[in-house]
Amino acid sequence: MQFRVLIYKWGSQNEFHFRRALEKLGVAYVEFEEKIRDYHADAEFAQKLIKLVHKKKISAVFSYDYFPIISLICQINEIPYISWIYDCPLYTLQSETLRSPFNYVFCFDRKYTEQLSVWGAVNSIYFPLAGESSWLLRIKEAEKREPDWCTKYQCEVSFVGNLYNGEKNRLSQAELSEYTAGYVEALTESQMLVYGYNFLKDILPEQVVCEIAEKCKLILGNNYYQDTARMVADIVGMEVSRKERERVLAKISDKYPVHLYTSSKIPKGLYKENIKNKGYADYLKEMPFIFHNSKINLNITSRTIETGIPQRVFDILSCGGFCLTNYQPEIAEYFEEGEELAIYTDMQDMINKVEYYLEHEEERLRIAQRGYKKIKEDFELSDRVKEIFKNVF
Amino acid sequence: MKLLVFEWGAYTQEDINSCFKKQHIEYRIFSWQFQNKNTDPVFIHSFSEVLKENCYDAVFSVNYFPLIAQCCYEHHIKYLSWSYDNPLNVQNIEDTLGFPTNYVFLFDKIQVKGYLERGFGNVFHLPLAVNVSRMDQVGLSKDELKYYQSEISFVGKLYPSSLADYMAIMDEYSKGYIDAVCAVQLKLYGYYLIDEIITDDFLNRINTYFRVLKPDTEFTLPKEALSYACAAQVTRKERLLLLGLLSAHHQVKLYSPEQNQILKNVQYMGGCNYREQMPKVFKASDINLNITLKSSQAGMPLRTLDIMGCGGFLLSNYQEELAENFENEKELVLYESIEDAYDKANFYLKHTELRKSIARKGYQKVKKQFCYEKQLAALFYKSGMIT
Repeated sequence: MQFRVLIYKWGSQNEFHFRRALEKLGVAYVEFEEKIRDYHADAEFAQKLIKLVHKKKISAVFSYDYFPIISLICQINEIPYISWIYDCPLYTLQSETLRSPFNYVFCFDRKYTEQLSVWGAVNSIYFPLAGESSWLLRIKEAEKREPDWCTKYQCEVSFVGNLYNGEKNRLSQAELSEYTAGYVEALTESQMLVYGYNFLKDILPEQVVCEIAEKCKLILGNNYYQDTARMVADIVGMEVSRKERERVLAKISDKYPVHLYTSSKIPKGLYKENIKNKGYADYLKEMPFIFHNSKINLNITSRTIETGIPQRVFDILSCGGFCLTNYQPEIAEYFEEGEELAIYTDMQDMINKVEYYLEHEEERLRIAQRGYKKIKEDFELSDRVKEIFKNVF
Repeated sequence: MKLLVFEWGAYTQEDINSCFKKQHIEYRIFSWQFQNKNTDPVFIHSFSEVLKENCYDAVFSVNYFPLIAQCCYEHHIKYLSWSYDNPLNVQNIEDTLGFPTNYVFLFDKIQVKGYLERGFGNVFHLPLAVNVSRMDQVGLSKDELKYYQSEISFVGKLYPSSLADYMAIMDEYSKGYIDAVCAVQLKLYGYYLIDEIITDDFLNRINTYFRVLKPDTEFTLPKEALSYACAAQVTRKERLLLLGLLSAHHQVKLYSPEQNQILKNVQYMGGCNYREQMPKVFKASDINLNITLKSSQAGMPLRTLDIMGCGGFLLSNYQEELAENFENEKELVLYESIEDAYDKANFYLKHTELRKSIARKGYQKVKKQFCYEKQLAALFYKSGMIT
């Protein structure tokens, strides 16, 4: 009986490479793309999935991130449900289905992995994300074929990402009481000064938690374990990220031109001569060329990711790009500062490093090379996927 | 060398004077109590008269006095100031700090760095000292041993803070802001952010609102006062929390100027004086706590050296210079959270031999490296009094 994996496709940018990794490993797979209407009770979805599981004799289901209804189905059919989590927070993980012994939750953030165990996950495995060394080869080929087309991606400093100032930032849209507004302001300003320790959830008094939860409608619903304080901390964390990204970009653009790729609305603070808003960047068609052609690629990790390495870092390095990133404990753990990428620990450090690495081209290129090598050696997706299956079977 | 020594009742004055005597440094004493450190014409007159005698190589004081700085500058005589206070508790210190006759020695390197960055080149780093041989001679009678004996002792203020008074004149937003700043600082060890988060904008907001409340007022809340009030409040909370937690499980004796109403399980012993009683406390206690005032970001408070110099076992909050100068868990023990302090107290109360060994090693280090002879020599050298 052949081993066959069902990949649930929901539009994650990582799905393309995961499929290729399976092909590389010679693992048979089937893709399933049905939309879920209710995470716990979509009968139509359930039926279709079950049918496919039986028809194709599926040995395990895989998805990036976590879907309670898939967990339910896998539990009924007694096959493993493998989730690779790359978002934090991910509220579906607070589903009561998390406890299923058929769940294998691979989580990219060490602290979050521990939290999942606390919430009842039986197989909660700490598992950093990965890169794909073939990206750089394909980029080089494409650039050779069409050298002029890629010049539009050349720039000094680029940032690809969300500015967290849209609808999802419910905190900025809520009308908070004066006291809570002042509290949140000081709290976010403080967190911005500190890397490596996320204290937001430890420092929210009950009255502030209740008010924010109510005004931002932070309720998960019946099938979920409700951790209101944590949800409030996450929403405040998003606000910290919003401020941080704006400030970093504003500071850099005081002196240097910046290419900004975002679908977010541009805040007033970033209406600057040196900032060119290039709009949304397609993950497969454009991002690789952006990363390859920017002298410095910024990574400003979302503050809700406490210790983990975001996918962005692996993407930049896979494309042979030079990465300047905020300090994250796990980045410092796996990568050497100044050798494989550059890490900043405060705003002054950040701007000093932008200045330094724009001036020192040779060193910068060498660092990018070593960063790419690191991906190839330790973070190749197909190797990591192999590890995942080893862990489960 | 002939010094004019300014005396005001500093704890360490006698020990310093003893050291001068031992080193055959001539000195004369000028005593004064300032009501207002920045305005005192009588002092200026009297002190200038003495300086006019023109027979001193320098003026020396424990802590910093702006009017001394002024007089010394006017009379072209060096002013050597060695402070054990942090903050310095001098309003508008920058008005006089820059005089070229000043040589100001501070025990906190971050404090020194701050002044250097603002252009004050005559501020130097100098850790404090203790007179170990004097403390060696402080013995305990049987009764005293019984009186001072304790599993854990803490000598220090509880900082009843003026923050509540300041908050009474703030709007709700500002109250929330200040509450958050203090809550964060309480949790954060090894990084002091109060001064960064209390921005000029925020201060303006408070003062503007106060003028709305009281249109006739001339009072403006200065940043240092608000910062200090926050730092004191956070320190107070940390001290109450930790003493509360420890006293629920262990014997804790508290020596403090303020009557303690809050800590039910702590044995309140009243105050204790620096020279006679404090060494007895340290010698008779299994564990001596140090919980540094938050605004003192890196330095080794006098208390920590006193404890070790008496052969006492020191359990202290993490301070960078303590970690630099002493080996953690070999010569003293540092904690990095309330929970950590609690665990370490439990552990070291159980492991008597290890605890005594740590106390012994700490004592030896202090005796060797932090004595007055050594530190005063460094002070005189840096101020060009000796070569």
